[in-house]
Amino acid sequence: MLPYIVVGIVTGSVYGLSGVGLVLTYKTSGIFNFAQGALATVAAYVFYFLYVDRNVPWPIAALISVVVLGAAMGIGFEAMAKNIARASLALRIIATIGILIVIEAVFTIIGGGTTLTLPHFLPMDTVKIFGAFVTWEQIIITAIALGSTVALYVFFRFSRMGKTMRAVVDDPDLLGLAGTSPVAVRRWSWVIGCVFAAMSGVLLAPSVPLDASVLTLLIIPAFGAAAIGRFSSLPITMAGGIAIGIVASILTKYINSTSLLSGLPPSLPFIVLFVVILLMPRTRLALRQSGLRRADIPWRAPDRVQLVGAVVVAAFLLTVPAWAGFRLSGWTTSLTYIILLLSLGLLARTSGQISLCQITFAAIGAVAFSKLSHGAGLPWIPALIVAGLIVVPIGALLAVPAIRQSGLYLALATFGFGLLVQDMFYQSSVMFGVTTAGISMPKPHLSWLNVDSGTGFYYVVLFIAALTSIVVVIMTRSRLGRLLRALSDSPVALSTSGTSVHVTRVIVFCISAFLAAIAGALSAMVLSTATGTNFPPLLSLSLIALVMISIGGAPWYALIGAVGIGVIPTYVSSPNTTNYLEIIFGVAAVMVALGLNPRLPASVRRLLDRQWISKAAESKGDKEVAVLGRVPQMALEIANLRVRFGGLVAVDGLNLTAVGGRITGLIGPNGAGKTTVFNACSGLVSPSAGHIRLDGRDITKFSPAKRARAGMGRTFQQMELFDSLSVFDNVMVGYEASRAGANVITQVWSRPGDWRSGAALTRATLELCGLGALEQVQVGALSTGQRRLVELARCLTGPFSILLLDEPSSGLDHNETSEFGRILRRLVDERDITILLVEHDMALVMDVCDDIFVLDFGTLIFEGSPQDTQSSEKVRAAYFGTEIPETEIAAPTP
Amino acid sequence: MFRSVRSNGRRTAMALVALVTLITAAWGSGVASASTTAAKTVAKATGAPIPVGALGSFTGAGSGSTAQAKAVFQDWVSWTNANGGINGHPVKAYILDNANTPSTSLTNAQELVSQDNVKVVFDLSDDLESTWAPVVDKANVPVMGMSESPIFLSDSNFYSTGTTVISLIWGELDAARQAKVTKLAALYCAEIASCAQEVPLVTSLGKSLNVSLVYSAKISSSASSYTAQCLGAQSAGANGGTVGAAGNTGLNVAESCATQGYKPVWVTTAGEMTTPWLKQSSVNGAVGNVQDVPWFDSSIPATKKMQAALQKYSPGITKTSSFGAVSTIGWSAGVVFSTVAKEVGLTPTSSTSVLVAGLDQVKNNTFGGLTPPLTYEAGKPNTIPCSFLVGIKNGHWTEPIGLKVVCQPEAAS
Repeated sequence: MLPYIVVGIVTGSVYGLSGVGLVLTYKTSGIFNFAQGALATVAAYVFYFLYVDRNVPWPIAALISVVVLGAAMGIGFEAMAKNIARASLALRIIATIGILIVIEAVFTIIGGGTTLTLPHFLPMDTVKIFGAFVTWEQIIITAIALGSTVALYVFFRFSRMGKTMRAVVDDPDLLGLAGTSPVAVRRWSWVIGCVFAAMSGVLLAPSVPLDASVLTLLIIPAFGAAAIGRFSSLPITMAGGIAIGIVASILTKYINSTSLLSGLPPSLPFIVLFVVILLMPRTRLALRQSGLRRADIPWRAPDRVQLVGAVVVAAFLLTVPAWAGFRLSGWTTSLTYIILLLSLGLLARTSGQISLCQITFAAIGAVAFSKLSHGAGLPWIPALIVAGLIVVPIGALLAVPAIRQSGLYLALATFGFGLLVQDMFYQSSVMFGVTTAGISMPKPHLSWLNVDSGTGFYYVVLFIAALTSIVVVIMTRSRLGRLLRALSDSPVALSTSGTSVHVTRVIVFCISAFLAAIAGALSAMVLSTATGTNFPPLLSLSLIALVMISIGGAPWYALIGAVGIGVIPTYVSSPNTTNYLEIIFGVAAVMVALGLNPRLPASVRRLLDRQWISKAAESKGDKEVAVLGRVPQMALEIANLRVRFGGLVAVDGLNLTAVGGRITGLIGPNGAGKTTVFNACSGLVSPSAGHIRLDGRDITKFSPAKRARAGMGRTFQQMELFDSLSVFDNVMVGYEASRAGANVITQVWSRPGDWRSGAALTRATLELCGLGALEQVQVGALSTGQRRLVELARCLTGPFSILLLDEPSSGLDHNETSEFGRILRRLVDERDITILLVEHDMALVMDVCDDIFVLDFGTLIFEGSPQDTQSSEKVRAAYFGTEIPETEIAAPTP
Repeated sequence: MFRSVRSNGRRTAMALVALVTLITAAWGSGVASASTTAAKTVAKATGAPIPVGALGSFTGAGSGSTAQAKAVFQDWVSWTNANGGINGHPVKAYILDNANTPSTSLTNAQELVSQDNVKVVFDLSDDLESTWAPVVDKANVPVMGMSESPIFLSDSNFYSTGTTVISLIWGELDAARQAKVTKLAALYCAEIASCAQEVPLVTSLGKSLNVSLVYSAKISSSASSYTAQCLGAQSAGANGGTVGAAGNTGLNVAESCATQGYKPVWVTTAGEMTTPWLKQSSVNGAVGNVQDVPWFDSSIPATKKMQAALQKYSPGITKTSSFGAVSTIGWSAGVVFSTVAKEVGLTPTSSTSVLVAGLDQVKNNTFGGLTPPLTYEAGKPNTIPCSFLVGIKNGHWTEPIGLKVVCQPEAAS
């Protein structure tokens, strides 16, 4: 056993070395660098060029490859990272995936698929340690891995630069105010991270057949080590890497067969990655990262333009068999890409969730179909549908990390899942079998169409692709579509509006998995057989880049993507066509992350809008407007609330009652705990003690969505809006979110009458809030004041009896604030709504509030009427720091 | 502010593109064997040519020694045309690379059959045959060449010009037996479908040769060390080892094992042995078998001719790192084709059935020693049971039993 442990430590230190590099850049930049292995590849190739081709002594070659090149790459990455730091998480992920794709493609073109052998430059003499021979090269790599981990740990913990590197991730602006340049700090972080990546590449390259992807593949297992270190702790990452190495090594001793288990040792890092992310303590719904670049405002072509376009495209596709000749199979494959890209688009574009295992869904779908149709003899159509359904539970399983964790972890978990399935199952009888013959993929037999001919099958696939497109377009425009887009923009807002976002995520993953499975089965049918070669997991990276860079809504982005990945390689038959395309996809992905999205010229958009939208809008005629009615009056009771964040007590023993049909103010200086109280009331943080009661009903254990459905709505200090939706849709989601609730059916489908009622209510609310003229404007384009009103309006269309409004006048001018105050009073007077208001504008508070509670350092220090509050010395002391004798601070009235 | 961000973003993107271009330009001259030739290679010749097609995964994952098969096949075309062509007609070759992409392989086959009207498709160790076989079968275009695909054992339209897969593994095990290997360890890659297919065959075929599989493990081609697997094989008592993986992974495995003082007889088949094997002491004494005459042989007129042609048309190709047994399969397949085509009087206007009829007449023919004895029978899958043995000793290729062949008894009967 001891030799295996020694070997495991050596192997594991390689995982640790790579994992530490990953965590290092993530810690210091907030960007998880999927291209870490690709940077190592660049350094290894440069080292090879200098050391082997140009006979440069290895220390000099290493210095140039690691320090000079590493620093140059670090500076380059910093320049990019600076510009994507405020992009959404999805775009930040896509940016580094784009770089990975570009580097791999470039070196594949250069190398032509040839592997290089880099001679060992470190000593290869061996030492016997506990029965295992270890080379000095391995000892040096292990020592460097352990030594650099310790050094980096000390650096981050004790040096000023280390602390500023951590601080720059949390709040660069604050760091700037403290006199430290965040740009310089970030640049140093990237330089260290990239030098580390380059060092990994040069050290590890002699141990592998060097090609464009080997170091990327070598570093991917390190994701598992990084997961053990929670993507944060360098020592735990190193320990995790070594632990994975030891367990994999020991498994090698005991697993000696060609069974499924034989895939366990090489797959262990991916299993660890997937399981650790699955079991990691659940992160609460994260509030919006501060300072995010506003989402791009997507322009959607008028419906009639799209309809005409669809007819033209459909007519064109119908003619393809007449002239495509031997390239028809390429066109058929491209049609299956439309389905696959739509399935991915639902996840990535519509709901903002990055899945890196879409090709794995497709692979499982193909296998399931083959076993059902060829194996079990099920007729073609049922076999295809059941194959799709078989993948649905797997999609649901993948939704678990989406529910539990943030987007990055979902991306990593899905990536790990894809590689795990390949290594464990592809070459087994469970999937494609152990020979290159693959599994049979029968085509349908139809009496009225010769499907055995390429033409017949093309039309079958065209029909399914068209049907999928129509379904996805309808879905995108339905309640589910609005919920998904809302989920993408702000899961918190959607949840606090009443939708169980967990259910939404499971639904979209299941639909996506189903469609991907169908696409996988159809694409394999084009080839008559399916092998693992058809479904390489790394293709998922190109697909996600493609989906994110394509323009247009559904189904146009899928159509454009399919042309890129399917049709072009069919016509441009150079062996490097795919590589050149990947360079284009990768560069485009980086540009999109940088905000350089391809757009239709504004003049064309205006022209189309003028020509088609206005007429369409006019033709709709009069619109129904509802009368806003009264709601059941409710009171909110907070009893002995205590909220702790680690050792910090943010709220301590708060007792507060917001009486029904009144406006209650909750004020206090910054950091008093007001927003924490709101978050505890709406279920976004868990109190360590105390109860929240709504109209006497204890809702302390309710989820945010369930609290919303019980009658509690809220707004946010840092606005949580659905930026990519129009004003109308934002407010409409307020109406629909609680009706969608936690039920699969009500999330997917709404009765037409329900939509009409919601639309009427939405229009009435927009009128009340003075937003009627802005109905079709995208929320991302509004001023702060208008956005505040939209957030309020969204609350008003929900079934809320009590509203928690968090600094709603922030960003409003004097007139807007006055108008806002009038609206609040009308809500209370005309609709019986209860309001709990956190506000810094004292004039507004004094003007509209009936009761006021004052918090300071998490403790209630005063309760009374506006007049009493104004005259209270304790309140003034809290706000202005006037010293007051301790004896005068009375205990708050319960 | 927004303008500034956009401006920086554009600069960054431009810098990225510049970096990519720079690296591409710098490396284009630095790293050998970058293949930038067009997918379609047309031999220069005069007169009405006989069109032939060739399919293979010359680039992409796992291309290995197949990468050079394209050049060697082109050399055969050049040599044939320089020596009078076939029945007075030059050969026009359409060589298409699928880069190990199934959908491309299908389109390529359709292009050869329906656009280029080829008389024969050469399979240069493609591994994607199951995808495109229906296309050539339907068009009645015969396939010649070889690979480790089981399709050669089931499809009568596939005329293997070298050992077919099961017999190839049998020959590998016989090479192991002759090298006194009794217990074998098999390590195979987790990423490529063809890696694993050898393992169950080793188990079943080894019994008759008294070579038993005592250890097997799936490995990652991108691992930095295989020491644990070496320890596992060693503790299982394996005195022989075989590695099924792309590229030079086998060498890395042997090196890991040698580090532990574990030096089993390394047993290989087909294209795994390439030039770098000669330089690594850990594989000294390795044995294996190949589907056609050993690629390094120059002891008979047929191989002398091949070596001379390679020297003339692709000087230095035999020294490249990926040159090995698979590299020359196109040559022997070409020679088989030209011999048969000459016999049946194939012309550009002949139907493919003329060639098929000629192929079905081949009985126990070694084509001057380039191939094991080939026998084809009309309408039946063409099993080729014999293979040549090769080895490495002190940095040189060896032919342990000369140019004799070993033949799987069951398959031969």
